[in-house]
Amino acid sequence: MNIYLRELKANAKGLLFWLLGLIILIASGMGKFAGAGNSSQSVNAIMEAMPDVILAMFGMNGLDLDTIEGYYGVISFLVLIMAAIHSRMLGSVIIAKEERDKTSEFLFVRPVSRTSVVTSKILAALTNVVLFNFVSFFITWTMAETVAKGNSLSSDMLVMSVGILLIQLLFLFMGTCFASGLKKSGKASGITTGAALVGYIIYIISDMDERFHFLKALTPFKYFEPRNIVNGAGLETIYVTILLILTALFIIATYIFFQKRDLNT
Amino acid sequence: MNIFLHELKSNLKSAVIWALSMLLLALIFILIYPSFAQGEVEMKNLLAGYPPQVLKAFGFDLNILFSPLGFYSLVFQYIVLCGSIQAMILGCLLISKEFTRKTADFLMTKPVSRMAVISAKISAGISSLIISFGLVVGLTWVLLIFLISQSIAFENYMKISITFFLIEMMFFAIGVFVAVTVRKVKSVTGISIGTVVGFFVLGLLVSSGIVVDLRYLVPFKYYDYIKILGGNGFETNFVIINILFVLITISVSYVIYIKSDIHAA
Repeated sequence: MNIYLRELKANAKGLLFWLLGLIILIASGMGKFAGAGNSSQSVNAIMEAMPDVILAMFGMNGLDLDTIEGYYGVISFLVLIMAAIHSRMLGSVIIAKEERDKTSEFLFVRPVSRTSVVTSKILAALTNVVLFNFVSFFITWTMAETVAKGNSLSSDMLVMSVGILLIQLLFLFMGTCFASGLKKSGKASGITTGAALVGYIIYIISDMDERFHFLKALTPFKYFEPRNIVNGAGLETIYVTILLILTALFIIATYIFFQKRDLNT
Repeated sequence: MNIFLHELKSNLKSAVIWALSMLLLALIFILIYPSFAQGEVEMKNLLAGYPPQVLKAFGFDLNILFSPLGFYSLVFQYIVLCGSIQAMILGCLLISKEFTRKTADFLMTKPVSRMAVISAKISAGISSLIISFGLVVGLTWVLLIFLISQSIAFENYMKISITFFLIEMMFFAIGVFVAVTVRKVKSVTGISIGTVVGFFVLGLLVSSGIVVDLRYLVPFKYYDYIKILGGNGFETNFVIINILFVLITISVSYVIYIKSDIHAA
């Protein structure tokens, strides 16, 4: 319990900055809709004729920017990227920092098992991730209510939040897994960011050209897409299953690796 | 000269690997071009009905956009993204590795001034950047010529490519600056990818119109390729900011490095 509280406190400031950035992003994005919403048919028609390559670069494929739903889809993708970066950093740092700050000797001579240390840390990280998710849901919901009253977004938003949470969990545990498994746990942060970046580039490429659609199974960003949710398709069972299985594997690996870890002191 | 050669040798392999991965990315994009070009007719037909003012508002010329270089300039940003990460890692690693690997006292007791040390390191870094820049730009040109059966103006290609180097230099300078101020950089890859991706996401916000006023803050947005291809040349103020930024950051880094206390391991 002590470790859990300690970790919560240690991450509070960072979380606050992330949430601030998140609020600015969502508020300014949604505010933009209030200004530009329902502007002109022509803009939308031009957008529709735009080649996939350009739409893919802005994450606008299959979204109608004249509607609040379309706007929401674009913003959600940015929120998704932010959430992924936040959770993978959190996951790798929360494990790696003891060795980085040379506090691992101090921590591991306490009468607590390694398993309970990892569990507390994971729970603290989970709390952060869930808070991030909840705040993004709440802000978007409030903003959408203010700029477009009577919209039909609420149920989509819930689905979207679940999807974002799944991605967050994946990256969180990818971080903890690498931080526990690698000899130099500090490298976990770089490796997971690299993985997220490669995932993002694959996402863009598979969106640009039909011949590269087959790449989509390789990137978690494709598993659940804002545009499918906005267009009412919901989450696909198979991808949700893949995400859950991967996450479970990362969790198990985290515990196994950490149990066997040689602590660098 | 010894330090220069030593650094060059230790960075050569990673410079070549970076160049090859960027080339792979370029190759995939070039393969996408034909399907992108197919959209030209549809787009032109659709836009024929609109008054020229509407088209102007979108800020691009379709003939340029759908030309091989127009397309290349669109996807080029992802290659620049990778190159910027490479540059920042390089700048940061060159300086900080002496501290993290505890070789600083070894190096500083040699009969070379600190001025000579940092100059050798920076010029080795820039040389490795030039090597991978040359490989990417040179071989991508070959790919373009072989895979796309249209004439491409070499001059315009070089104009786009040179911005790659200018942006890389900015991140290289940021990397050096971070290393001389923080010194024991715990995770060079982590901080570099984090910074560059942060700027990239900011760039996404700028180009999706959410925060337009921040263009000066985002190196990736300094050069408007469609305008450059249209014969309008570079925007002078951005070129000046770019070059001044690099010079000032590097000079400040020199001063900090020469004056700082170096603790023995």
